[in-house]
Amino acid sequence: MISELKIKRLPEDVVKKIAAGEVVTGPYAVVKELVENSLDANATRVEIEIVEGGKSLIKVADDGEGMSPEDLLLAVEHHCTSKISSLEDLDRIFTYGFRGEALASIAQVSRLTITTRREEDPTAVVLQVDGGERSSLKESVRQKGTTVEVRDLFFNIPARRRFLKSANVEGRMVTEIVHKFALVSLDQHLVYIKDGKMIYNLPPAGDLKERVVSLFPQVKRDALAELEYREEGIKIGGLISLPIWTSRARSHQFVFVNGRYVRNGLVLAAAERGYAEMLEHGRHPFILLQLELDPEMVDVNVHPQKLEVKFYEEQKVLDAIKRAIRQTLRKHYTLKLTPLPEEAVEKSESTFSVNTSTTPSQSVTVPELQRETSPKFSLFPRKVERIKQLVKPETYEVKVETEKKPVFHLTPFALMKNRYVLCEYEGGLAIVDFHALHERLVYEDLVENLEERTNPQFLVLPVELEMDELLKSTLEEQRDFLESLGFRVSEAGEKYSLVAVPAVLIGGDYTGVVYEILEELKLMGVLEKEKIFKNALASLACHSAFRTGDTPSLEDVTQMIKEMERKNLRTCPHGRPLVYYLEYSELDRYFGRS
Amino acid sequence: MKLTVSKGELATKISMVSRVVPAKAVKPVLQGILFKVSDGRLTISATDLETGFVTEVREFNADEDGAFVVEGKVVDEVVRSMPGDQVHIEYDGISATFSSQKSRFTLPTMNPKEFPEFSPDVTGEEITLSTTQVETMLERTMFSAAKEEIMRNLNGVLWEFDSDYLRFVAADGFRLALAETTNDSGFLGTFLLSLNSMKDFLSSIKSASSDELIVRTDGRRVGFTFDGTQMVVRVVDAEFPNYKTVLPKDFRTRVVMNNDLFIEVLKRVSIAAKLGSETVKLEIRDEVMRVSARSSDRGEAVEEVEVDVKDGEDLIIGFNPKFLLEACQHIDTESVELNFKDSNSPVQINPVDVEGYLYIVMPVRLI
Repeated sequence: MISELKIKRLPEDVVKKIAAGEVVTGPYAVVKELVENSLDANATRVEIEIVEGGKSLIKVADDGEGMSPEDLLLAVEHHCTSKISSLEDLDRIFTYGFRGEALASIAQVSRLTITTRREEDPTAVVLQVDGGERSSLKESVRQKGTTVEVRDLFFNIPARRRFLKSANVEGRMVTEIVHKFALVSLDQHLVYIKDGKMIYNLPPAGDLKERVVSLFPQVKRDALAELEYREEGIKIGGLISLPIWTSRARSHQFVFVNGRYVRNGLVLAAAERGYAEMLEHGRHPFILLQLELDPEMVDVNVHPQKLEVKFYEEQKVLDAIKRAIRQTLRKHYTLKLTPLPEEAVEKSESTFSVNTSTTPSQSVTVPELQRETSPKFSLFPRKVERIKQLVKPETYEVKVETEKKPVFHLTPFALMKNRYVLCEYEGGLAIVDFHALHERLVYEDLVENLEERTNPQFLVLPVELEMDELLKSTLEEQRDFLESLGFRVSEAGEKYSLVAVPAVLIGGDYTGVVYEILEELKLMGVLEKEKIFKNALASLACHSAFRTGDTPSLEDVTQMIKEMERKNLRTCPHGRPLVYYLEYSELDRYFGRS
Repeated sequence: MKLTVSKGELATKISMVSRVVPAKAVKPVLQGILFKVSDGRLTISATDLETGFVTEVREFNADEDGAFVVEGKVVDEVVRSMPGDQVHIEYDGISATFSSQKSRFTLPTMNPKEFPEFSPDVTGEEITLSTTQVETMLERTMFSAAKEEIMRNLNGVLWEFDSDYLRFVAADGFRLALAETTNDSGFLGTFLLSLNSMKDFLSSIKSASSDELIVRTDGRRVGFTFDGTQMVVRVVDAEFPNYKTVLPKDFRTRVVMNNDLFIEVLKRVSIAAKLGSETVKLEIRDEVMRVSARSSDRGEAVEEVEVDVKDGEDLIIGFNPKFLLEACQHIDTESVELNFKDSNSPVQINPVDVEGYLYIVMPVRLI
């Protein structure tokens, strides 16, 4: 007796539908595929319309090349594409769509109508496909180009249809996709209509700034700087905002690789690192990165929706991005520098200075990106080298021509609100944020005397650490790092105890810091090691016992300001400015004196 | 209400209670001191709701019962600065006038009914201790407590009554101080009292004229009664670590030397140690202890000390000189004894031939 086979081959149309679902994840994916097709067809005008978040209708019309009736029939077949004919071609991909699946997949799961006409054809043709069921070609009328209408997405896969989000959410996702196209297709006239309402009507833009500002009116043109960077095999263009414009969310950050939008957290993280200390914690700049890489350096075929890419030399690409941003910011601030009064300046190699001429609301203080490592006599050269490497200046700094730095001698004369110190200087009034300065000086001391300050002092009474599994594994992985900061942790069974803390914490509260630093160490791999180390040092500095009282005396303050001038410090460890300069010329202008 | 008070006694009592008056308080009345005459007693009180004082002023005359609250810091300053031996106080329901000889101060008052209900009587069995004994023990331990209020379980002094001893223990993590005396009271129990309250307590008992100190506790609060003053302290709601497991045993090196000499040497040598992360190195070899320190910007210092006794193995070990110094400065005997195990284990510092207190200091890694 042969029992009936339990395992059956699925009917072919079911297989197709399942496969289609891989590519077509929702209305936004349909829009993406269709607009890519339009751009591939060299359209100069693309009109996108959705109704009900795209659930009932998605329509993309272009004035591109159009298709012949034969091509049209092929286009809705699986693995048919006009773009690749052999496997070797996979290595060099300059057009958007290439897997030959987009239209066919959409055809499987919707009611699809395509109307197309080539310039040379006398009439347009229209093809209807209902859930993969093709009707015959009919003649129709339209100008050169193609219109694709997708109705009732997933009408034949109720399970998928149910899982579509609300019309609002799906609509928002489509809008985001439209943003991304708008940012790369400057030459195209883009129209976006949502539920009958014109959302964007974007004529071809003269430059990227124009497009950005019309898409995101909250980002001001003045706050944008252009990226222009090139090295072997890598070209980086795009726009970034200066640190004066940031937002709480990351929603204004876009990465395009060879013109294709991709999701890549690493790239964005690298870009933000280019800002170094200029960004306040939790604030994100506008970033629009256009990477042009030799197609051999990048694999775009790792994700069905082509949203992710793989770089063959990832670190090289990430470093280039960081450098590009750093250079742009530097160049920007160098150009904007106002010359300081001759007697108050002195030649130096410092790369940054403070823009003292703008009005208070626009005033930008630029934190230095370089730390001077003064060659120091040291009796204890051993461990320091290894750790110093982590805090040494970045090596790829590009020397900018001789710059000027102010050597104002600030004379403090009053304290305000126990926070601000008013100082007089030749050029006017300077206001120093005392607490920020103090924090910075403690941090400096820590960095300068790293080995002594992080020498482990053992504890008479070990402190049991209460950690969740994540913290425990972080501790296990980063034990060396923690020990390089002077902590020692012992373990007995499941219990971990702190048995030594860095000398800098003697007299301070040493129990909380270790958790703070472990939290910081969790980011290992996400942030770079140097940054984590700096943050860890900032935490140590913050908890060290070197504190001044709530009410500093004017003498203390004077000492500290001298120290600040000697070391040419501009920002607190978190990148906030230390001094605000109010020039006499500013005052004169306000009071109408010349 | 009219009062006449001895100026000396009033000034002492006011400055005692005004120690707990907070500089800033949510309720202004907490910044005040309550003067109260009833049942033929004049008491003055102050509290910050954590610690409270009620003290009796013995030498006074009053024409009637009454109560008023004046600002603590002000009245403290006023009374201390007054001329003469007698202070006359007159309260008219609105202000209190303090006068002496030709000097007059009129101070605004606050409503005594708003003064927090604060009962100085703590229930629980009475433990009788000697004020001077407690004073000495506190002085020997308090300096080792953690200064950071946020480290609640170490920012204080542990009082531990066991079947044989009453022990005071204070530790800031890096060092520990322990002082003990026999416990004749029969009371068993432990409580942790904050460093701030112990500072107030210590300075108050210093001026006590009798040696009797009565302690009561209900587990939540501790009441002290001494010399006409009642002080109530809230017990710190945090667990002092189990210090007994860390008391070192099995010493391998013992050194005895002149305490003053050791202190002098430590002071001199630590000049070369970098401020804020000081390390001194002790090298014990044969009968000589070599004490040295060095730092990148302060150079190097070395001094050799001949020790009176050296038992056991040679040793090299590093310490924060401040911790050694502070311990040695609290040793009362001419000689000091240092007991080591190895360079990673704590040193025990104690007086010679006297029992009752010891210090434990953890080493630092030698760079």
